[in-house]
Amino acid sequence: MKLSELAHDALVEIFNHGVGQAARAFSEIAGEAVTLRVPSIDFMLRGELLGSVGAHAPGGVCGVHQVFRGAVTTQAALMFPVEQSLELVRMMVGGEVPLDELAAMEGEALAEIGNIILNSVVASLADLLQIEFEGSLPTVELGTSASQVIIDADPHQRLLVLQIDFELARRELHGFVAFLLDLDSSEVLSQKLDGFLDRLPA
Amino acid sequence: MNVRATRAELAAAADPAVVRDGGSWRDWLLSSIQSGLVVLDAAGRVVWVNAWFASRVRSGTPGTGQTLQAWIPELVGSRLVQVVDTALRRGFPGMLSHSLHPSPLPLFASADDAAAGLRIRQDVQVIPMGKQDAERAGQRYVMIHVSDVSVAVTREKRLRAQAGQMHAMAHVDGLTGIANRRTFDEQLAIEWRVAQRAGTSLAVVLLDIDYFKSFNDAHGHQAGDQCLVRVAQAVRAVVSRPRDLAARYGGEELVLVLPQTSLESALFLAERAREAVAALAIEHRGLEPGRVVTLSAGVAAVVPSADVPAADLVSMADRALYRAKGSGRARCCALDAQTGSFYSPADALPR
Repeated sequence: MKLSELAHDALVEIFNHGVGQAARAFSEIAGEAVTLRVPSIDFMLRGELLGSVGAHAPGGVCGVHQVFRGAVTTQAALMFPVEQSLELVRMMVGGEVPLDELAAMEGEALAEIGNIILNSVVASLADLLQIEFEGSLPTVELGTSASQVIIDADPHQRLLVLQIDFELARRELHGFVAFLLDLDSSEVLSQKLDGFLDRLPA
Repeated sequence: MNVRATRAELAAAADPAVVRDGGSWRDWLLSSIQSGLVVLDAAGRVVWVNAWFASRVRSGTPGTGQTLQAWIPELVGSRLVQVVDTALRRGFPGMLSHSLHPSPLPLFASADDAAAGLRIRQDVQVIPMGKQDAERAGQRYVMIHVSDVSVAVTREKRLRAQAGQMHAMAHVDGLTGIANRRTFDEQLAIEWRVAQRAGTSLAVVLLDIDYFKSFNDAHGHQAGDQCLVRVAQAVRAVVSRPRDLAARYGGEELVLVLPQTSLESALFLAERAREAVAALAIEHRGLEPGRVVTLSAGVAAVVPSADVPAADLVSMADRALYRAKGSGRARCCALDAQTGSFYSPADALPR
């Protein structure tokens, strides 16, 4: 599935609208303006995604998963470089929390941060595809390799991958959201996407 | 592809047939559960609250048809209400971690805690009914699940405090209260690298109490220990810059690590330490009448280079200390690394 420039831009706009809501939630938690952006989306093979994540996060990642079921079933995984995930928690907690205390909260806080992002992104996807999902609670993996986070993907299967940029207090963090879709779901998704793209003004 | 099941999903997939005779014990179970449960209907109205929650919330019982924020007004506009809203509208579960929201609900363990405003620390999960259950129930209910994590939070704090204490104990000499040998080894290695990178002079001073064995013989070991403590404190009081270190090297030997310090300055500090100990005027009955406890000190300083180990600096200071002992004790001696010659404070150091 290759996206035309027009389709790409339309999708990016939709997802950016979704993460805008997440950004408002983060701004309230952090007590200052948080900006979230989805600069690009892409369909990638598992190997390609692992390459991109590996280049961006050579020290490994922290991942948050949720499973969403509906006409399309997807495992959604948010990944941040290990070094940045603690930074992210520090940004959200704010103030002068000692590092060891921060590390103790990391898993839990990341679960919530991931939950906010994934819910907002999947909400956009649900609106876009006009389907309903029911989701699971988030689970967290700290300090692992991306291959451990996206473990079940068939090597020939394409994943929908969103890049996600966090900006707070003049700091920027970069993460990835990957959607694993089973074969049926992939077909439904591409049909729905075609439908969506047909509705776009030429 | 198998989508990996999460723990929550595995629990949800448990065979409902396992629940037999549920009617007879379900009410008891729900009223005995040791976490808070609140059920909202599809319109967000509170339809059920379990005993645990009801006994800890200070907002009375919810009126018929009241929403969560009507019942507990402080929740208006809160993150909890947003998460509940997402669950009601979207069917997506959400959570509030206690790290980011320590106590989102006004829940108190006791009346005293309530009076003091001490809330229970909480982990909150908001779980909407799945599609099938919602169809069976006629609408999508949402459950709020609250765990009391106060004990875990307190325990974690205590463990961290203990870890801090253990760290301190591992780095402080039990008798004298100054840094121990391990700290000296660690600090010397660090300062050696720093000085090497910066190209600055690093000095080490070894200090030894003169005739300490005969002091112990004459006064007893308890007095010997007290003497050591007073000497160590006096020596530590001499070094005042933040990165200077005074440590117990072993037995009656003390050591100073002095970053960014020339041989001349280190010799000056060693002399101050020697004077400070003499000024304590601790009587030494193992010697001639009127004699007091004194120190000998050996001083060395170098600009470290990569091919020389830090231990060389210590052995230079040790040679200088040996020289000070050999020239009559109660004095300081410095070894000039460049010329290999010894100096005492009376001599002018070569520039």
